Amino acid sequence: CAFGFQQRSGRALWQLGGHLRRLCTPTGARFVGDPKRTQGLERVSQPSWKGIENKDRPTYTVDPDEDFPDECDALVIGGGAIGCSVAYWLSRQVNCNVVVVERDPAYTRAASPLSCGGIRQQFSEPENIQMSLFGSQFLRNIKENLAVFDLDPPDICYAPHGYLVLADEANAETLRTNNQAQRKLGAKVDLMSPEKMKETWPWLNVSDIALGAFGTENEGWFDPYLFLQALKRKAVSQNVKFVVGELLDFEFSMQRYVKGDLSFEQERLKAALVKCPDNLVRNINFGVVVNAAGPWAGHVAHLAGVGDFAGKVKLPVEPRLRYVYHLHCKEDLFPTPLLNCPSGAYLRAEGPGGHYIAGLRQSVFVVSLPPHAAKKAAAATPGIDAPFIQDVASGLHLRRDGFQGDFVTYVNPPPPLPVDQLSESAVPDEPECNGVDLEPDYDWFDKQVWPRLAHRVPCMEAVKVRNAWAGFYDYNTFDQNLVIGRHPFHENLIFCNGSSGHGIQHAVAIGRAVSELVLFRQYKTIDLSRMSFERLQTATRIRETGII
Amino acid sequence: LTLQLHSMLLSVLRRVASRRCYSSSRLRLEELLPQRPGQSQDKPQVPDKLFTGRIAKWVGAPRVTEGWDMTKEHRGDLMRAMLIGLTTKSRHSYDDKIIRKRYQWIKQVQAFDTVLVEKFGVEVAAADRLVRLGCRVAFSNSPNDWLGVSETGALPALPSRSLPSLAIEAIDARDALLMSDSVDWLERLRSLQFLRLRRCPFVDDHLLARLAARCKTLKLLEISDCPGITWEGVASLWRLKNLRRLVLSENCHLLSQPEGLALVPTQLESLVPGLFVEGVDDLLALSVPRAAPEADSESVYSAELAP
Repeated sequence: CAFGFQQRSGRALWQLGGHLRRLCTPTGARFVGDPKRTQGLERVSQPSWKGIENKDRPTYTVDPDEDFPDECDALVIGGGAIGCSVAYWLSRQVNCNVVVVERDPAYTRAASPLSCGGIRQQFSEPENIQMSLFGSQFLRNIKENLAVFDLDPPDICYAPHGYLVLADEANAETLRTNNQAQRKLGAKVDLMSPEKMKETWPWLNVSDIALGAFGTENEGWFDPYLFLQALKRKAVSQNVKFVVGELLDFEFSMQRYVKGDLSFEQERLKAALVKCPDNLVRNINFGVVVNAAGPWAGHVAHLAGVGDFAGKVKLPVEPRLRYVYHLHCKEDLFPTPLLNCPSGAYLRAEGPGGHYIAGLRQSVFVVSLPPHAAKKAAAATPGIDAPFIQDVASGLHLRRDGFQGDFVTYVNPPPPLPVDQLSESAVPDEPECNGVDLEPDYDWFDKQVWPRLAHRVPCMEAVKVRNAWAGFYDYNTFDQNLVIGRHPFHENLIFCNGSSGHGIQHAVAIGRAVSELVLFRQYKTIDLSRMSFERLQTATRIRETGII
Repeated sequence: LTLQLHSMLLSVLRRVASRRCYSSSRLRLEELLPQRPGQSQDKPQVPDKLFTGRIAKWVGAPRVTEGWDMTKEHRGDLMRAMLIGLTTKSRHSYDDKIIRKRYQWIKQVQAFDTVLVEKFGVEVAAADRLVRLGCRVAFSNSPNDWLGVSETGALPALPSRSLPSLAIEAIDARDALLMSDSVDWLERLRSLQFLRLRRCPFVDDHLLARLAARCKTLKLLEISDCPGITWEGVASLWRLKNLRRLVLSENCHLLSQPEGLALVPTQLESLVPGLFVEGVDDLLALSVPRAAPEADSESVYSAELAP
């Protein structure tokens, strides 16, 4: 009937047939709205309107494909642990179309499989502690949570040994405060004196340690690649579409907002332009997009205009190189907890047999003077007049960071080259990272990691490096903590980036939080509103104190 | 079709026979009828119904004391069916609902209940929960006097309130449904000495790690035929400083990790003073010289451990 006829879309009208089908456009388009109409024609990635200079942005030719999902409800950029977790939670709670775009299905450079895979509850921020506790509970019941019908239940080789965080006199009080906060939230962490630690672990050198915190439960390490596989398999079984492609750009549409007499136009993220392995560019229209690109999240945010027309504040996430060394020592110390030393070195045993995994967590240390001390000794502490102090003899570097009394310091052993031959950009402490190369540096081990290790565990002096690998941290240069939430300008762009080494243990909780944001527009379980994008705009740092 | 005819014939004959004959003649009729193909004359040992609606009956009957036998095979099938039931998306099948409900019930029993503790005291409340999960418990005032679900499936008579002398000393969890949440109960038992985990399908590394962290009074521990554990879980037992005997037997899956087999028992013995690990001698390829176990006559339950 006529009433139903008018309501049908272009494709349905075409299928009804008729002689007018012969009289179609030159490109052979079949119905109004057929993407074949514009096939082969150049499509400008953004329409030209005042406000955006689209001369700088490249234009792409879009080719449609029947098997390719050209529209979805939620698009997840990045198929790592966090991306798969977001897809899993979204598809678990509601029956919607979720598409995950991952450019490297073998995960050769992704942060997830190259991490050490540890989970700990010893943080100083309550949100991090809660996320870790939920992650630990999820991993304990992983056979129930991520099992797929007709396949073997997932096994992530979880080793339930705890973390031991060591603090010297300066950090002992912070450790005590953190311990109280952790216990209040239900984490089981015991404070141990040096004598108790010496009695429990006789091979540990605790002569310069004032306090240690040992996590008795809910801590351990697992195989992150198996975890990623399990998440991805479960997401696929819940009808999530995984697409292999690289995100090239976003498409925008002008959205007009009207309130009474006032109206304004704003760019709205409409679609993503993805380059597929067959070198054709396709677009995916989405309702909401989740940035789970890990170390390259800053680039994805830049494509969306963050830092450009969508606000001056950029997403401060960049890849940082971290080396992990597989050591062999004749002395067998299995089972060890995962040791975290104040110098930044960490060590754990990889099964019995004298194999260990070690690395340096962070090269840069942040020291802050407590406000009452800064006020007392106002004349003695460096203020805005402080230059970048470098003591070449001892290798100490000190500079002021911001106006809150923060200082950035690190110990840099004297470089082999004379000072005047050093280039300005060379920072020997932080390994050079271009976001692509993943070659471990064995010299760096000898100079930076080994002395600290030999000091902490004396029998490690005769250690040999069996293997090493390098991985990227999705490093948040602002405060090394998660950035999660919607963007203030693009309301359909959700961030979950910048975990800076804690992504794999918080992946489950982050996925659930993002799914709650998408479905309910608020956090239902763990309140992560403090870690929103706004804190980057107001320059409020949420830094972990006393914990690396 | 022949089966249906037979059953129809049987029902007709029964109706005919019941009017005139006594029950003994009914039996004779059944014996006279030709047997159905695939059915032996003897009654099968395996019960037809897996569970009859009361968890006590399902766990308790039939009870076999020792050894591997056919009557326990169905439990593995039941667990597999449970896992399949948990992983299927369809929630509209009655079997799935039963299995899911049963799993939730098991989890509920393990959860720590403060109301029960307030009412009966922690020892008696723990005994009640453990017995419902299929364990047998022995109290300190009467050692070797095991209280568990009887063959008929009846719950045992537990004391109605807790007394200072009443403390659970030993737990025998054979084919029990202990999960890692049940350690919440075990940590509050002030004088728990003996724990045997045999053929427990839900015992995994998390439970062992929790045991190591919380139950410091444990002296005798047996883990046999628990498919969920690995050497990492066994290694986490180094924290039990009072452990005298650790028995690992019939854990065939641990054979697949030879490096753990060679190193973990000896390292445990060096880390925990006074510990002797049993059950691994025949598995060790290299004969590592080990000290003979001290004659342990302290505990009444050391004789209970498997040789």
